[in-house]
Amino acid sequence: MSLTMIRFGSLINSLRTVARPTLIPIKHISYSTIKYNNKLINQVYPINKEEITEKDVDDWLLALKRLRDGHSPDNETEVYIKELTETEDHLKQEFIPNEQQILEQEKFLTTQVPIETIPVVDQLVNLIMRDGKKSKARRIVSRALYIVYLRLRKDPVVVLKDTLEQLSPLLATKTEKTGTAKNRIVPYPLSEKQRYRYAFLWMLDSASKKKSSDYSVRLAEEIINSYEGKSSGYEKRAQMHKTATAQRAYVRL
Amino acid sequence: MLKIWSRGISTSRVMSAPKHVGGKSKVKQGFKGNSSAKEKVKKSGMTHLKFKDAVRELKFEKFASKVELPILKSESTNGDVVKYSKTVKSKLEQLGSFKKYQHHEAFEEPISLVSNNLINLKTEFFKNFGKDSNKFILKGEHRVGKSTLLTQIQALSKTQFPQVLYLHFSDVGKIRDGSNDYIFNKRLGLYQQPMFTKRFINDFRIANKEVLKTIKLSKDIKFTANKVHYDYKAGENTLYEFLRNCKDFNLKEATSSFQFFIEELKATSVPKLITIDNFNAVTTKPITEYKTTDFEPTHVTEFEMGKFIYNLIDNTLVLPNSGILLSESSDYGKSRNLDIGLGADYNAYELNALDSITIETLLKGKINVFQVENFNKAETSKLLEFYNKCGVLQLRDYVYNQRLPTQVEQGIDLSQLIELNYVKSGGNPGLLFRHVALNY
Repeated sequence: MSLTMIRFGSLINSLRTVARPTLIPIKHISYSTIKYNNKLINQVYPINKEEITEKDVDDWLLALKRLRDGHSPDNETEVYIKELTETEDHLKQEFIPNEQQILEQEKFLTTQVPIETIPVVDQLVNLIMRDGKKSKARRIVSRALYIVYLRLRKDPVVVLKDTLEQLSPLLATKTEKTGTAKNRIVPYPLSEKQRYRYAFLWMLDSASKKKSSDYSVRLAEEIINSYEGKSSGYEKRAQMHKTATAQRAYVRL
Repeated sequence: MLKIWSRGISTSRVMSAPKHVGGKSKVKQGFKGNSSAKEKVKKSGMTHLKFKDAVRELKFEKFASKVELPILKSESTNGDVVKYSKTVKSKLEQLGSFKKYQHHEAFEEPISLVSNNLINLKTEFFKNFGKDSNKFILKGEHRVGKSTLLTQIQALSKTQFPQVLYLHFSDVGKIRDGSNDYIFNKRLGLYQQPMFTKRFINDFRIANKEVLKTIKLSKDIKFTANKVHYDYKAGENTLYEFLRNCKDFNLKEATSSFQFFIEELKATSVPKLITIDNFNAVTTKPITEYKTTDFEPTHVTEFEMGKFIYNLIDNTLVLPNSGILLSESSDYGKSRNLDIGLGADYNAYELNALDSITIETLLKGKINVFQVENFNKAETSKLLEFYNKCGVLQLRDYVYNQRLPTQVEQGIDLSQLIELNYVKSGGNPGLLFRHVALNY
C-alpha cells in the first residue's frame, strides 16, 4: 500500500513544481487500478477536469500523510487513495490446500531432510579455508580423502572419524589468576568439536612439513599416518593429558 | 718537505711493535658467502608429486579389492563392465592409451563399460575398415568418455584383426606446443622433431613387436648405429629389426628414416589402426610455438609429424587396409576450424581467425562425426553396482541436523543412491565418478 502511495505522492510533488495550466497527460495517471474505479475517479477527480489546483495537491498530500500515520479514511480523497492502493479481488492469489494436501503436510511435518554434507568434513574444510574460498578448501579435502581411500581401501570418513577419536585430547588446561602471587592451572573437559579442532590443527601442522607441493597430498599423508598412530600429534595429546593430570586437584566437578 | 713526510711514514716504530694478540679478528673484505644460509631440511613424505600425478604414480591399484571381470570382446553386451586382456593391456599401456585422471588407480585393472556408444561405433567403424572413407572423429562433452571409447576400439580391433598395427598419438598437441627440439631438413623442406619421433617409434615398436617381426622390408637400407654398419635387404630383414637398430630417428641432424618407415607402412597390407587423441589441439591452434630462423611463425604442416597426420587425413597418403579414428579433447577448447572442416557454416567476419589449410584438409578427408552420448540410466546403474561391489561407492547413513528435535530413522539403499547419482551426473561417467569418490 505504502509503495503506491509514495509513488503517487512523488507524482503530485513533481506536478507542483511545474505550473500546469493544461490538462494532465494520460500517461501520468496510467495506473491500472484507475480503470476499475472509474466512478470514484469521476466523483473525486474527473478526467475532463480542466486543471489541478494547488489546493487539490495539498489535499492529496495531507490525505497521504494521514493515511501513512494510520488514520482511517475520512473524506472522499482518502477513500479514493485507500481504494487505489488496495489489490483488486481478481488479482489476489490465495492457495487453499485440499484435504489430501493437508494430510501430506502433516505426514512430513515430523520428517527431517538429511543435511547435505558431513559435519566432521565441514569442520576440516572450514579450518583449511582461507579468504572465504570454500570450494577450493573442499576440493583439497575431497582429494585428500580420495587418496586416503586409495591407500587404505576403507571409507575415508570413517577413517577420519577414527583418527580424530584416537588423536584428539579429552582435556585442556586454562590459567586462572588467583589475585595472589601464584596462578592456578585448571583442567577442563573439551566438547567434541573442541577436541576435533585440536586434532585437526595438529594434523594440519604436521602436514605442512611433508614434501609434496600439493596440499591435498600432504594432508592425505598425514591422515594416513595419524590413523596408523605415527603422528607427532600423539605426543602433544599426551603432554596435554599429563599437564591436566598433574593439576587434577583443581578440577571442578 | 717531502723527505720529512716520507721519513715520518717509514718510521719503524710500527714494525717494531709486538704482534697483536686476541681482541677483534680481522674483518674479511668482500661479499658475504652462503655459509651463513640455513641448510635445507629434508622433508619426509611418500611423494613430491601433485595430486593428479601422485594418484597415478603411487601405484594404489595394488591395494584394490579383487573383482572378477570378463574381458572386452566383440561379443560383449551393453552394460557389461569389462577389463582388457593382458596382452592388449600391456600394449595400450605402452602406447599411452590409459591417461592421467581417468581414475584407473581406484581399481585393480583398468576397467570400462560397454555402452551404446561402443556398440554403435564398433559396427560403423569395422564395417568399412580398410576403405579411404573410414575416418571417424569422436565428439562429445567434457569427461563423457571419448578417450576411453578410443581405447576400447583399440582393444576390439585386436579381436577383429589379430595382426593389427597400432599407430597411436596419445596427445597430438605435443607436436605444436614447443616441448620438443626441432631441426630443419632441407631435402624434405620440413622440420623434424627427433625426440618426439624417437618416442613415437619406440612406443610403436614395443607395442607392435609380434606383428612387426612378421613384416619384411620392401626396400634395401643401409645405416650405421653405435659404430656398427647395418645392411638390410628387402624380403630378408624385418621392419622390427630396422626400428630396433636404426638410431637415426633421434639424430640431431636431417634424416630420412621416418620417410623410409612411412614407405614401409605403405608397402605392407597388414591392418593398421590409426588413432589420434586430442586432435583438436592441432586444429584449434595450427600455428605452432616454434619459430623459423627469421623468427617467423611456423604452421604444423611444416613439421614432418604434422605433415604425416594431415596427409593421412586428406588422403594424400593412403596406408592400405587402415582405419582412422580421431578424438577431440575438451581441454583445448572449441575449434572453429574443426567444426567448419566437418561441414559447419561460417560467416565472413571470422575468416581471419580461421586456418584455410586445416579446413581444406578436413574437408578433403570427409571425416564422419560420431557423437559420444552420456550413459543412460541402465548403464549408469550397472556401473554404480560395480562401484559398490568393488568398494568405491560408500553407503553411509544419512546425517540429520542434531539440533532439531524430531528425527526419523531412514536406511539408505542402493537404488536410491543410483537415482541420486544419475540425476547429479546426468549419466556423464567422469562426473559420476567424481560424485561417488571425489565429493565430500
